[in-house]
Amino acid sequence: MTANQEEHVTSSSTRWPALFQGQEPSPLLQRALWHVAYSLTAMTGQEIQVASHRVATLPLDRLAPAFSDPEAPTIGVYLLLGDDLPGQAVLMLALADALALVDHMLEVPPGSTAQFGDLERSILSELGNVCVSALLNAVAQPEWGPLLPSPPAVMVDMLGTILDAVATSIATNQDALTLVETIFKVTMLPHMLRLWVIPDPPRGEYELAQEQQGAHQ
Amino acid sequence: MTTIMVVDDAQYIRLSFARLLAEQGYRVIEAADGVEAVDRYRAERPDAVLMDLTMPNKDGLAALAEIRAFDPAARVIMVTAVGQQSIIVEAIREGASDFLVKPSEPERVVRAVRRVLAER
Repeated sequence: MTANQEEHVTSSSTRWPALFQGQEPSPLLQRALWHVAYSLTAMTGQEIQVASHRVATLPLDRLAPAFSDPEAPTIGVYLLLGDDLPGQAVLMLALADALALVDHMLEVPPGSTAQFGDLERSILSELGNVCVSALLNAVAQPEWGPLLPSPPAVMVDMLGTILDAVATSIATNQDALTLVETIFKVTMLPHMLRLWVIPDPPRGEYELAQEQQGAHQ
Repeated sequence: MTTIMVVDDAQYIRLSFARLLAEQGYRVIEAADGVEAVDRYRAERPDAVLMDLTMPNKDGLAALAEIRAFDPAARVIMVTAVGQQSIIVEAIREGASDFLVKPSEPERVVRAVRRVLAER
């Protein structure tokens, strides 16, 4: 990570710096990611482990080409993070894996779920909710305000389209996206779960000056 | 028959809890958000409530406060994925009888329901 990129992460909020250490998630954030895996395991009844994690900065106009198959049918569960840790999170999994997971959680034979109705979507919503809430629970500090995620939104589309939706939600004055990417291995699934946690882009100098002025009043 | 109201915007959670509690012999009613929870509580006066926190329209803490204002003896167990100290303190201050962090083991949910019912 360059000094510029590190500044991008650390200046986006007074809360985020505690969660980064150079090019790596801080020990606190790493523990939080393990807590996410534990919570997802408890929810799904399937062993889920952290396979890898990294801090990455990706050009906004090249999110989809960064993946080998941007046309892969994918589920994205999208949540906004709370005011004290402003940002977004999206949990992505292959459509076939999502169907298999839904079958497992509904305790129906494999292959039973063919499409996503309200019930099936609610399982995926809850997966995103538990995932992001577990992360926020683990990083929350007593002196911080509550870290509440938004209700989840489930997207069913090509991976590239989901990534475009994420890119569109980023402030337009940014040309790159800094994020924490965590890959989870699920025992029963052939592919990986991918979690992106995206701090809000840094505020401009004017906003930061206003914020500091407010803090001194 | 003892009636438990399950409040959660996730249909899957309502289904799971309803199945679990019905197996224990309870009558279960459901609400999908805080607004519906308050309305159904006023109409049916369930013996206990399992309430999610993060929901559209009206969140669980706001619904808890309204239910307790209507019925100070209401037994409301918060069941939420958000298990942070500040939230737990606020829920208890608003009158929550118990606080469970999702994902919760079924046995813990049943135990919490039995406990608050025993306090009536």
